[in-house]
Amino acid sequence: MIYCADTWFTLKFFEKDEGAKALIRDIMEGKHKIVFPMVTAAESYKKLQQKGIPKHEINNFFDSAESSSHMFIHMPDRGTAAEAAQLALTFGTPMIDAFVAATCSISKCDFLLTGDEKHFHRLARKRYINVKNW
Amino acid sequence: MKSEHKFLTAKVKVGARGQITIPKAIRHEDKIRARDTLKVTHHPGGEIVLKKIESESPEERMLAILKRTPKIDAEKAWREIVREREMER
Repeated sequence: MIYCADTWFTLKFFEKDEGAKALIRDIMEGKHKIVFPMVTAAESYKKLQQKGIPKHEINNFFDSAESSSHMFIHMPDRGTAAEAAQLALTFGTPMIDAFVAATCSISKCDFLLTGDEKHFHRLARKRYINVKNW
Repeated sequence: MKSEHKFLTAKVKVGARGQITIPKAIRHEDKIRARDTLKVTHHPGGEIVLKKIESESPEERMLAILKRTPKIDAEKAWREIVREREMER
């Protein structure tokens, strides 16, 4: 499986959630891949620091993602921007959600890992993306 | 069943810059490959001990972060994220 990780996933990871840790172990064994939208990285930097996680440890987290053969940080290009804008116009999706969903689609991810959030569920009902959480 | 340890010893010559070649049998026994990192320890009695350092994968380094960081309330943080995203529409 290829997963697209919304900020929800990085929050669950730093909550030391067993599901998040298990997914990282599965990724280490090559069972899955994970894509982090760049906007998720930005949001994670902000929110995790607000919650007391030192910036250098957030750096370590994304350094590990960049070093991994099975994890990727998606660099947004104009195609992603155009796709995100279309989602915002068509479905009224907030821009960050739109960027996350566009990244999920463009990267051909099987699932978006995200929390309960109405905009992604609307996109899932339209079959634009599949959503998963635990 | 645990296999018996084989005590392997050999004499090796030291090169101009202190290089040695670890005998093939020992490399094979300890799965030492090119570009592996060994820790070199000099003991007071004159023994020099080489030990392979298991290099961590990026995923292992990622999991190790959790031993050094406080636990956050993910649900509360996520609710804040959802509110903030709505405000930025």
